[in-house]
Amino acid sequence: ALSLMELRVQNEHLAGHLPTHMKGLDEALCGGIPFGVLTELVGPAGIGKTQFCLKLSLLASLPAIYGGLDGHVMYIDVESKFSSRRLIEIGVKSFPEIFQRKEMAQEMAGRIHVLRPASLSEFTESEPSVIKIVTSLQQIKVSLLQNQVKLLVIDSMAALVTGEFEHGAPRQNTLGWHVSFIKSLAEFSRIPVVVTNQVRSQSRDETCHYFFQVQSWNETIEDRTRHDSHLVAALGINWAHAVTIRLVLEAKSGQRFIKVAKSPISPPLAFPFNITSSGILLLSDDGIELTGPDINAIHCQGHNDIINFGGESLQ
Amino acid sequence: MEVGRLPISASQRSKLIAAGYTTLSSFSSLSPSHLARDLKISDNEAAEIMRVASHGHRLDGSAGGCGTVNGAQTAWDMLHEEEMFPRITTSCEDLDNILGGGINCKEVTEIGGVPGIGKTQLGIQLAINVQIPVDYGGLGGKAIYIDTEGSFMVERALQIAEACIEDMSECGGLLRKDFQACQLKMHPNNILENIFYFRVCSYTEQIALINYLDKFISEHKDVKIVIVDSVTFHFRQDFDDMALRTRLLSGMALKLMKLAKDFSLAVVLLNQVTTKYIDGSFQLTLALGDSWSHSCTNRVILYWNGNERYAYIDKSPSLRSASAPYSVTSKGIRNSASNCKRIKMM
Repeated sequence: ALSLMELRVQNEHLAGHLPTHMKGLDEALCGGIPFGVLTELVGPAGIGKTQFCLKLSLLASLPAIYGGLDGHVMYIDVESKFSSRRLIEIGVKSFPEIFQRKEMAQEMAGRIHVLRPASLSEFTESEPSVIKIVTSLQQIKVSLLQNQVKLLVIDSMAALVTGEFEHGAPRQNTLGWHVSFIKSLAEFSRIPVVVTNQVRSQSRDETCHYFFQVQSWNETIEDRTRHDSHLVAALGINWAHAVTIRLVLEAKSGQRFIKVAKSPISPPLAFPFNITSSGILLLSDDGIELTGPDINAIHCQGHNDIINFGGESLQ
Repeated sequence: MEVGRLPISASQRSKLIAAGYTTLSSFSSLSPSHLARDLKISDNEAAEIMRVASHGHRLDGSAGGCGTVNGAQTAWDMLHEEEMFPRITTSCEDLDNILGGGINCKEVTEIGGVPGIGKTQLGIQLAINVQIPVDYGGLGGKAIYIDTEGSFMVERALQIAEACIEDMSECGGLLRKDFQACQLKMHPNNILENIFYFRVCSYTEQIALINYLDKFISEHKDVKIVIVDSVTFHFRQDFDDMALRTRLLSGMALKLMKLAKDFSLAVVLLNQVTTKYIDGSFQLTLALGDSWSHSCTNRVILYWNGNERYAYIDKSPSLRSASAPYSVTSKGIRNSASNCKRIKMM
């Protein structure tokens, strides 16, 4: 393990982490988004996942002197949410000294490769089958090696997987294969991989208890009311085990929070944030430490007020 | 009893010593073919040596001679051996208490829980705690960490190692105030050096590695714990043939048990959870199915209870079912905070 650490500290840029320029989050994550592992962003619609991904793509393409990875970015945009105009806007507002010069903006933006599979049938024209996904992901691997890609963003994973099979293979199996492949890709090329995920509502049938945990009747009543406003991450528990770092973005009492829900290197912290013209801005660098399983919960209170850009809720 | 006193030829004696057998008990429980392989002599010669050895042993009058069946051990011998090996502490007193002192060597322990409960944290903590020197009540051994998911983060291991060294110096300072010779010479880098890290990317690699561990551990005899994090990951992806999966898993479990017994080390397997439809509702159970649940000696389930993390002993031949709270802090696994408050008030 010592040699592992030495290898990483010496060879890798910034000891193997991509700084997000959000000081509190970077500190919590020991430097930033780590290389070689899967980081998941999950949250309800409109909360800021794509904004985060855009900011990260920009950061990865910046030259090293500005804290970037000086590399190319592969952005797999399944739901057509990538906006290059917004990307440039973030760039201009966050790093005005770089983006004032037009050719720099062109070069930075030129390093971000956006792939837009409508369904994965765009990658190959053959009949729907597992082979399609295999070839498309393998194509990604090849281009990864060829183009010196330093960041892979998949937005969003749930759409990528659910858009596929109309018949045949059950979803769990194909997801499993995807996960293994993406993880080995990340490890092998030592790049950060960021994946976004959707949410779905929790049905009443789902419990999260073991056979030896006795639930009192009061608890079950309480649980039911909680379930109605509770969201869970899509893709199931298998996926939840497979990601290494899970960042939950949620809305609570009208304020957006980004929480480090699952991470081997960080304490469970929540940071309030806002979306600004320069990307995501943390309102406080000292996170609020959440104890208990609440860190995994995804809240959606006051969400409509936030995303309705009516003017008065923007502070 | 010393090998030197056995009435065997000098060449045989030198072969025994060269192979590392200096006392009778070290090879008295082996089968002759095993001994023959190790010493590179014929089976007959090995059987002869063993016969002489057991004869000598009985003459010695030591309590509880070797079993009459070759390869078997009497329960009395096993009790003595168990007491010889200290258990590996988890750094959390409550957890150690329900585990009877810590993780037992020579046994396979399975630890499972929902994502984010602290399985990897516990794995890293154990990999570091096994290195606590014998003077401080530990085993002074090395660890093998098999990572199937990529969740082992070196920075965190360094953090926990530093905290462990701090704790030990504090402890050393309290207990032996004038014991200069026991100066802690450990540095976090040394601790990291003693963790052998393997990364496997598919189930075939996992099985191949476990087969290879036999050879690896015979070359590094001071390995005292093997941690597999997690044993489930590759077996949950895309396995069409369930019968094959069960066969592979049981084969792997047997090999791990053999490793634990042969080399007297602890094997810790970290497992994931899945939901199962029992009695009309969904419940959480550990993954890999019912046949796997028989393969481990001990089973510990980590779960959330309100706002606290708890560990529950689900299955164990010698421990009773109990729960204990623990917490994950920046220093690693520690007692849960509510307990600490009680101590402070005293």
